[in-house]
Amino acid sequence: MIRLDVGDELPDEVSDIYAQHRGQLIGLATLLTGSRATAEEVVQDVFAAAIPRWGTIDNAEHYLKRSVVNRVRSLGRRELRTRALPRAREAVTGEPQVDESWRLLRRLPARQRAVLVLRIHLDLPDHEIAELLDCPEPTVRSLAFRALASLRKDLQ
Amino acid sequence: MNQTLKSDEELIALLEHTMRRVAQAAPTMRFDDAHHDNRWMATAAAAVLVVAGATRAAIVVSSRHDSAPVDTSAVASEPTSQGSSPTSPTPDTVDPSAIGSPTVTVIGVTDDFPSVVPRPDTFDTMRIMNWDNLAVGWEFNAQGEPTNSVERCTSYVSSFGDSWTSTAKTDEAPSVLYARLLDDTEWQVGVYCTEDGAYLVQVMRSPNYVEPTVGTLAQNESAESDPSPTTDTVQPGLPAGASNIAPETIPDVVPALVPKPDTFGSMTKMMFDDVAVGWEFLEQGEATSSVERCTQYGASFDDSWTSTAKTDEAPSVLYARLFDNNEWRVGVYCTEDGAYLVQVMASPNGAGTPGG
Repeated sequence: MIRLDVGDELPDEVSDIYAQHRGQLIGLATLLTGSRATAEEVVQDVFAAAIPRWGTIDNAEHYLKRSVVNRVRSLGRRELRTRALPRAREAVTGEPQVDESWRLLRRLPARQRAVLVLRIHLDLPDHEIAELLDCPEPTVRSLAFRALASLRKDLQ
Repeated sequence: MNQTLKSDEELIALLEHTMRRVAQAAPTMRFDDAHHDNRWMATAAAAVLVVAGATRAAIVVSSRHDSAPVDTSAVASEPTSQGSSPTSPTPDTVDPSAIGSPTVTVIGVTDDFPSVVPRPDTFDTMRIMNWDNLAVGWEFNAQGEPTNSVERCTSYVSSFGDSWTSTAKTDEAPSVLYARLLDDTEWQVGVYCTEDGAYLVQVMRSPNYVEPTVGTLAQNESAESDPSPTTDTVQPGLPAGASNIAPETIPDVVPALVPKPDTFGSMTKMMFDDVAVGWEFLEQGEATSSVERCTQYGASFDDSWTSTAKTDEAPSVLYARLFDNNEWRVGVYCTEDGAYLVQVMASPNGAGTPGG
């Protein structure tokens, strides 16, 4: 096994993409999983899986985002268990209103949160969300409806 | 939060702002217990590329979770991220010693393993599941033949007695052929078999567990001592945004195959973005009779419907069950305050589409 510092012996293209998108992908994964630590695992797994097939990837950013979503889907069991356990209030951004709504977002079931993140944060249309989450399009609307209704109730 | 959101637009605007800020903050989130009682310590150290062999590579971001969070709930909230998942990369994809987590220790079965849990003796390995240096459970792994993996799961599950509730887990990836949770309110055992023959058992504290037990998982007593949150205000499902729900009459819209909850006084149509997504029946009854109403209605579903208990609701939800006939999904909820709710929506397994 050989350990290399990023940038030293990686192809420049991969190093650049990693440096450029790692933060963004961790942000997306954090929103999807509700956990910064899990997000980091997800992103590392995505890059690990992507490197061997790097030469075949046309749009790296698009590919990596989709890979993050898919990887998070495979963590469903972990995530659900996580959600069932206590959550403490966390100051993440330093903005109380944002931190509070983030706390509520994290409490949503994983699929409901995923739909909102994909819709609102990534601005994906429902048919693409349905494809990513492997569910019918009406289910996407149902999940979004339920998520928003739940958040509305919690926020009021 | 002391604010009233008047419209979906306001709510979405808030969420958009929240997501943007969280996503921006995530890569540099830090843990500062001098000012707050619970933070992540996410000191992402240098990213390291691990190349295993000539053709295999993995990026490992060595993030050390320095010191356990002060709030023990944070410790308990992430336990399984150290456990292997049936859908995680298999060991021959990425060298586990490279990705590995220094907090996971491979040991033999110890005397601490709870005696009430049937021991899966046929497993090859057992690991103590750790989170931030705190033991949170046991994980048993075996790699068998794809042809008999489910049989191993069912055989093990049959060894649990009547004191355990057994619930199928339906939110797994398609590759997970068998997923079931067993719970005796003290321990929860997850049993998983995948199409590639992997066989996994995880033993952790039950979410229903309250009192810490001295002598088991001793390292983690503090993490276990915080019971799951109890909220007496949570309403299951869909308390509706009143502004976009239009009243309908029951016989005209509810699919014929769905047993009609005739005892309800009112029904509303659930809308999202001007698209009908289902029907909701809601009634506020007496607390003493709400569960009976749910069970009575639940009994009206015939064998063409699968019936699954929903276990992820708040403690105030005394009855929560999903009925599904692959076209429609009906959620039935009764709460301790007497609320009685039935929701009819398209099944995730089919193509039922509410009119609208």
